[in-house]
Amino acid sequence: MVGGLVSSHHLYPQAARLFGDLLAGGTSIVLSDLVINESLWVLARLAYCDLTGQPPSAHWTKAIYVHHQASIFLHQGAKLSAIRDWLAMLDAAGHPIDVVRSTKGQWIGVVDRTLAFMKDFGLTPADAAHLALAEIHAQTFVTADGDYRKITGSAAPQGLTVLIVQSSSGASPLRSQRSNPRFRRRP
Amino acid sequence: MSAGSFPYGQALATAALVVTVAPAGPAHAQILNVGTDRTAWHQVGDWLRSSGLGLTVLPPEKLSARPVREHLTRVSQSLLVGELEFAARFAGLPLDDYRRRMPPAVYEAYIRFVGLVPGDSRLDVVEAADLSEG
Repeated sequence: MVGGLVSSHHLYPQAARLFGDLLAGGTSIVLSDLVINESLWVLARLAYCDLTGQPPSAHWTKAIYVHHQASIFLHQGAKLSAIRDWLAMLDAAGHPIDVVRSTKGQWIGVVDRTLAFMKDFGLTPADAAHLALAEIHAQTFVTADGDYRKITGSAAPQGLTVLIVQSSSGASPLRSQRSNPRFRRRP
Repeated sequence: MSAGSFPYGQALATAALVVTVAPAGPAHAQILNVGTDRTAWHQVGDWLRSSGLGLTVLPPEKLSARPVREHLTRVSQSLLVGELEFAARFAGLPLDDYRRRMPPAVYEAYIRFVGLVPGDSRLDVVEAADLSEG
């Protein structure tokens, strides 16, 4: 999401094109909490850098965020709410977009798979849970995080295409278990 | 004071351009005639910075004496953008194809927000999204 919102970073052309193709194809988009967390974290960081005149590589921690959060929301609030406003406008326009729902009956499986992805692929807990939720709720998993390149072999999520957005040659399907890896409408 | 409708790229010698972008519906611009009053210019600068959208204001001495008018491109029914903004946000995107394939409201939502935050070319989104302590 944030890749399609921030125009100057190196993945923007690919992310903007991918997002446009998803919308043009009527593809259902399902967001996990990690997408929301990380998008807002990036935007808060950009807001902090703008406020303080620092480059995006400036030191950034939870303590810095807590210290500056009132100022960030006061002076850069529109930047943070852009993700929310974008999603709200798409929802109002009738595009199928949603956040992962309750996994009642499947939650223990999500925890099991999270642990397995941590153990087998060395993912962080948040990244592993993100992937475990995608295994249940999605057909295609879209990310810009190269850590997911490690997802190969028999321990990989079942029935899920992992799509990594990259800058050199565009989005590349890392792995497909279907005959047709293109995006499809969810039932 | 006079108001116009959404000229992103227009500035007058002794005026400030304030752009308000609403979540839905057209954006609006107001031209505030604040002359060379430094206090007023600082106030306008604060308003623009608070938008969080990378908008800024130039002091009067940095503006030309005559109005600067940028060629505007209509991206959708409600969105006109200047050349620089078009190049940054929409260059290379198949907008005509998207306009044909997307429902009108979805297309409006897409073009309204895609690339809206200028950011910084040095930004690494993956590294910046790291939720762990730096």
